[in-house]
Amino acid sequence: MVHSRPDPSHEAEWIRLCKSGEKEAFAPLVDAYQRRVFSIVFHFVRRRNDVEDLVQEIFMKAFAAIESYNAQSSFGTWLNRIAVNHCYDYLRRQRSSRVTYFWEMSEEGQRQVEAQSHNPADNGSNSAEKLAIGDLINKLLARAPAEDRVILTLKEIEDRSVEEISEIMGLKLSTVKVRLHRARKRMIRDLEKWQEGR
Amino acid sequence: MRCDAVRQIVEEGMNMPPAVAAHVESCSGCKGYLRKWETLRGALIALRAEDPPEPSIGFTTRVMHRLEDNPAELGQQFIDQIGRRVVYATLMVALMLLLVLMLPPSGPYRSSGISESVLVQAQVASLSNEQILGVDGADNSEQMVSSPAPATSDNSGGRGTK
Repeated sequence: MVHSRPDPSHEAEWIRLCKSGEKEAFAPLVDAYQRRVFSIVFHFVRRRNDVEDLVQEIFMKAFAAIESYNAQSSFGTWLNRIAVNHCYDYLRRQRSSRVTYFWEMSEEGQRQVEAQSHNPADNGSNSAEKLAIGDLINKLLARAPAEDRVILTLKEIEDRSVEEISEIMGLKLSTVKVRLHRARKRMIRDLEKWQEGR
Repeated sequence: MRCDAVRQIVEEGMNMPPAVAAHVESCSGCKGYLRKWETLRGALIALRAEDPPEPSIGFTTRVMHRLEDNPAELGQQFIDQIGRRVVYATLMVALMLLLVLMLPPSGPYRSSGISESVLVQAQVASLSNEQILGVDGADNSEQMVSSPAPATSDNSGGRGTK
């Protein structure tokens, strides 16, 4: 299994062959990029059981659309874009992503999140607090609107620059900045709500 | 400096310009916002440490089999992508047509060719004519004018006899 980025000339040749209809030439591209795509998909959906199916679908989509790849960006970036869009569609389809944020949840839902976020050994210490917040973050991300989740994941978990996010999502730099700020504000408001309810 | 602009700068986690740092120092709201965001950011960054699942053995082979076995699936994906756009475009056109048909015309009505004020004037004129002519069409104008006359003529007659 090849995990590092392939030689650009080899990659260009595989892509050319794929465009001419030779499916076998797609296998080394799958080998080269599968780990990267697994990582992206896992960061977005955070459900281990769903990752492999989604990655397969992403590679199927990439092969179907390979005619449209025009080498303006690297193949990796182009593939990332397909992966992010696929995850975005997936998250939007999920019922949980429609529940949105903590303050929009029912009282019962809030109680469940709080109960799950509290460590049984929570004695108010800083590390316990961090652990609880980390767990809460997972829960909140799972319920956040797909748009917020995608952009926060790219910036804070995938550690992408605003420029990279703009390229992957096909948005203007200013739009990326505005959406990031909005997503962060909502997240902070959610944290405040959680802290008030404790 | 506005708090929202300051917050947008500080949440990036870069070195703050002096004006921004001074604002944060003096504004308890922004200071609290920064503290909360740092907590959340730390928790988000901690998620990076979670290892994603490894591709299972034979992953590439399965993808290739799927490509071989399901050319129809690829076609379906293409239709899904293109078809959705066609459906949206058709819906938009239908909506616009519906709006054009349902909305009243913005120009003046031209059905009667006579303006409303002219019609009102004509009605008023016909009513006053009816009063003057009576229902049977006889000329009552003299009667209407002379109706109080008997009293005056009586009076004048009275005066005259005196």
